[in-house]
Amino acid sequence: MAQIRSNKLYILIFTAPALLLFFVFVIYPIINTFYLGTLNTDGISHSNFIGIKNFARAFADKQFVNSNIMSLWLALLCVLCDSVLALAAALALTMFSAKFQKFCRSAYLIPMVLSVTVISQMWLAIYNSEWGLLNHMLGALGLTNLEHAWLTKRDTAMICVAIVGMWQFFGLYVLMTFAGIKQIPDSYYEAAKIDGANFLEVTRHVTLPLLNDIIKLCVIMGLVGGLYTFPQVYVMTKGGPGNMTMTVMMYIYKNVFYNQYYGYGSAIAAIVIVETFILLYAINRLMAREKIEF
Amino acid sequence: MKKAFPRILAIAMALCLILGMVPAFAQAEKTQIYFLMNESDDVMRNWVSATKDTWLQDFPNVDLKFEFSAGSASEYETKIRTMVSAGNAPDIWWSHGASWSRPLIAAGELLQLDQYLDKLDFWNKYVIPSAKVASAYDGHYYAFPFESLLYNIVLYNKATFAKYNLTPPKTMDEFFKIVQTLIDNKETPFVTGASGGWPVAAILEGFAYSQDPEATKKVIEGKAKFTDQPYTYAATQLKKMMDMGAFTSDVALVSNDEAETIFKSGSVAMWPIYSYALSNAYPEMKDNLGWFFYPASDESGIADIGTSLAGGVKVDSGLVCSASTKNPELTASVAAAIARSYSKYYFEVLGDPVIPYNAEANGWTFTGTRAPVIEEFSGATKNFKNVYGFVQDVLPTAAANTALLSACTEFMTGSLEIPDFLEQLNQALTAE
Repeated sequence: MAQIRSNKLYILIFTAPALLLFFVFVIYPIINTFYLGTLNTDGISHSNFIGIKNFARAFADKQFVNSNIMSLWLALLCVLCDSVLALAAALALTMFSAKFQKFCRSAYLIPMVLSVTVISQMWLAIYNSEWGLLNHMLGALGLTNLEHAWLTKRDTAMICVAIVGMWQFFGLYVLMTFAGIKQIPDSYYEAAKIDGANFLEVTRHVTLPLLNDIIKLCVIMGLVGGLYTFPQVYVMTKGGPGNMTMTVMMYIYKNVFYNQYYGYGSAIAAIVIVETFILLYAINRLMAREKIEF
Repeated sequence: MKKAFPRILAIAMALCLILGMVPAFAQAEKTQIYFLMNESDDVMRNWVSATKDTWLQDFPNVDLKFEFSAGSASEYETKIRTMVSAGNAPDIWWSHGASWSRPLIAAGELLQLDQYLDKLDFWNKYVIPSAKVASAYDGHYYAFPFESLLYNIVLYNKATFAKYNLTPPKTMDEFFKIVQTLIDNKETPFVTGASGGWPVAAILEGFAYSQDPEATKKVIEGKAKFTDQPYTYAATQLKKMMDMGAFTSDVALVSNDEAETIFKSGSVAMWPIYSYALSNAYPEMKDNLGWFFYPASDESGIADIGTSLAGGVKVDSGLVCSASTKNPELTASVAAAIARSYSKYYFEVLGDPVIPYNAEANGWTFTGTRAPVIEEFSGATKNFKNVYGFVQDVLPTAAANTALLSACTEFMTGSLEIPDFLEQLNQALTAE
């Protein structure tokens, strides 16, 4: 292995196919997005170079700013709900029997194997204000005052759409965290037990530090998943009614494909790419810890 | 034997190759034409399955690749635009109106049909005069009229009306009395496909025309604004309907397909929609189906009901051909034949005479008994004096269209006040 590592030619040959695909399908589109952002184009007729005008326009565009804030808020919510709650769920799962753990592991996977379109339609049926399951349940519980037009009121529309994505991938985060906990050697817990540590102390001083990499991964995935929320929005509301559920991804789609603002849509996409890099850098800095080998 | 086997194998392979290429040679003589269509409703599906085999009767050398694109009109539009911008446009597709066609015309992506239309003597031979006028843009023609003529009306369920002794309203007072009666009796008065936006725009236009027969035309030509009296009046009436609880719940999320299904199921009393829906709803509703024009604001306007309304032949709408099609003349001829076939189906099978083609000149006959509602509506079209395109179809850009439809949908959530809503419509007009 050391010999192969020392031979840069081998490394290049072995990684060339993957690098080529990565360049063609990731790097080139990113570069092209920045380039398209400098053009005034509808994607069909002749385009002309306008420098940073599209970028300047984006920052003055209230709808972009609002949808961007909405997406950042969703990203934060995804981090909180998926990463933090998943950690709590995974910790709770460790306290149950192996048989129950096995059942839960399978159950958590079910939403992930369903198509997002199917899930979105299912949630549309749940949220329907007249015959939806949610209002029906609230009514059955005598909480009729909480019945609501979930997807057509500004105060609930976005969160209701966001829940769909978070619900679908919650199991993935639980399973990743649970697998991480299972990787921690029992001897650490036994030592802590001998020292008289209770559950909270074990969690704080043993589990969490050793799970740092997994938690970081969950936070990054939750953040990116929240920021890039699109399919359920497209299927359920298309960013509407009006702009109530307009995420930044839906806004890009709307500008590029509905309004034919290819250049402007690309500029927004470029801004979001930069924003993502900044957020990822911040997370890496905030969660940087000394690597613990075990 | 050992030597013979490879030879036999080689000969067999060569034969297979030659035989396999025979169909390809045969195909090579045919011109391939790709027609991508929007699977918009049942009528469209039925028309295709009933007539597809007849489209190429006069074109034996054409190999037509036909595909349905599922989804809404805007999804179909998005698909077409993406294909065009990728240099992979279909040869023929259905353009829904000006905001679709004009950017493509400006980009030189649509085939100018003037010379082919002249050769076919298309306008004189087949088409009604108003369809010719609507199809012209900058003195040229880019689309073969395709859709039946659409007008802004309200469909209603006669059984529900009869149950409460209601008759179609002539004035807004009568209109709101009907709405209140239905609500009082725990009936849902209206359904509309508000998620698409355009059915909401249709309601607004319905009310606005009672104030000014040129309400939309003036706005489009820059002589008026949406914030002026006709549309303010229209938005006020619509808001009043919403405040009364006249619509189905979550109406802002209801698509037009869902609205059609809900109306046909009999669970709502009225469906404000375009006249095409008469043909769609009649097979299921039969004699329970009725229609009326939007009412006048007061008794003084009753005489003018049904004379001025939105609709007619859609501007720049119809089957269009790609400028990059390999055999323009042949593609144009095939598109013309398909476009005529659709109207022929409407006339001869559905018994709907409100089409952009001259049925008599085309030699089409209807031998069955025409549905009474369609007959009645067909007769009413003779009283039309002032018809102008639907507002979303006459907007100049796709961005204007999107902004208008989005505002219309949002208005139906009740979260927009009337002045804000109308101001959004004004802003939509300025979208470049």
